[in-house]
Amino acid sequence: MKTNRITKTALLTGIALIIHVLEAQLPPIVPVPGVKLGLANVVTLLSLYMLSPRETVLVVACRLLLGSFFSGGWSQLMYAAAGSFLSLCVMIPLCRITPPKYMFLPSVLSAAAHNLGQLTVAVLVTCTPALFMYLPILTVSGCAAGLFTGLCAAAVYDRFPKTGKSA
Amino acid sequence: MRNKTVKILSGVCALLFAVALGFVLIQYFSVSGEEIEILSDGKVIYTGKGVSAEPVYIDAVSAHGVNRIRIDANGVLVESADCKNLECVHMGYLKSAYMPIVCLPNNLVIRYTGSGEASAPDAISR
Repeated sequence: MKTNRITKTALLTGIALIIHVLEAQLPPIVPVPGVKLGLANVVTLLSLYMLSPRETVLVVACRLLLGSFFSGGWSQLMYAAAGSFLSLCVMIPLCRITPPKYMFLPSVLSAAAHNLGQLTVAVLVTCTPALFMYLPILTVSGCAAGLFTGLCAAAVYDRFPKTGKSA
Repeated sequence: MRNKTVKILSGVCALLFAVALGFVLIQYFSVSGEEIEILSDGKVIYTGKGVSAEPVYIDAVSAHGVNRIRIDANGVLVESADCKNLECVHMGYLKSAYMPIVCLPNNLVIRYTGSGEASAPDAISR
């Protein structure tokens, strides 16, 4: 990996980590487990459009591990990891075929996938399939949060110098 | 090609949102039963009525922590917990058979058992 790309990866990881830790300190917006804005996904989206999928996976993995370390949420790590894995599985191919202007579209679908991944782990951990009843409300909130983070990411991307992938 | 992709993805997003919203509305207006079940670490620790004239307190102790559950005239809720985010406490009273109270850090689930249709006259409804 070239120094330029290592620097960008580290920078994006740092920004994502700060957002992740700050968001963890905020009280829940809606009293439903799993509903949150997921502002750190702004950085994940930017990373996919500026860097490569491999570097984006690194950014997300580092953010999850260090985020759990700094915010003391080790028990939440497996939920976040499952959600992020499924989210990246959706986001990576969709970002390849979607122009940056419309990055809110992969963001919405990946947010829904993120919630599905988290919920699946919750069902396995609690042995309670009834928790899938949360899927509709988590999908609605995921769509709204994904739209918001996608629009934020597109706005930031517009203001970024376009030297990204070729650098 | 890209315009077509954008249109297809927009349609998928809109459809997903509409279907999910439809289910949320159905869940919100659903009628629930009176019988509840409390599961801690996957084991049933309480089954019985979800309302009580006199407040009843149940401590759900798991390997991960403790949740204090209260059953009163208004229903059942988690009164206090030692988990970090306290989402289970913020959820308030159990409202719907389709939306159990969950404390993921302490592995606790409180839910209505059955659809509640049999106990329609004095069912808990939203």
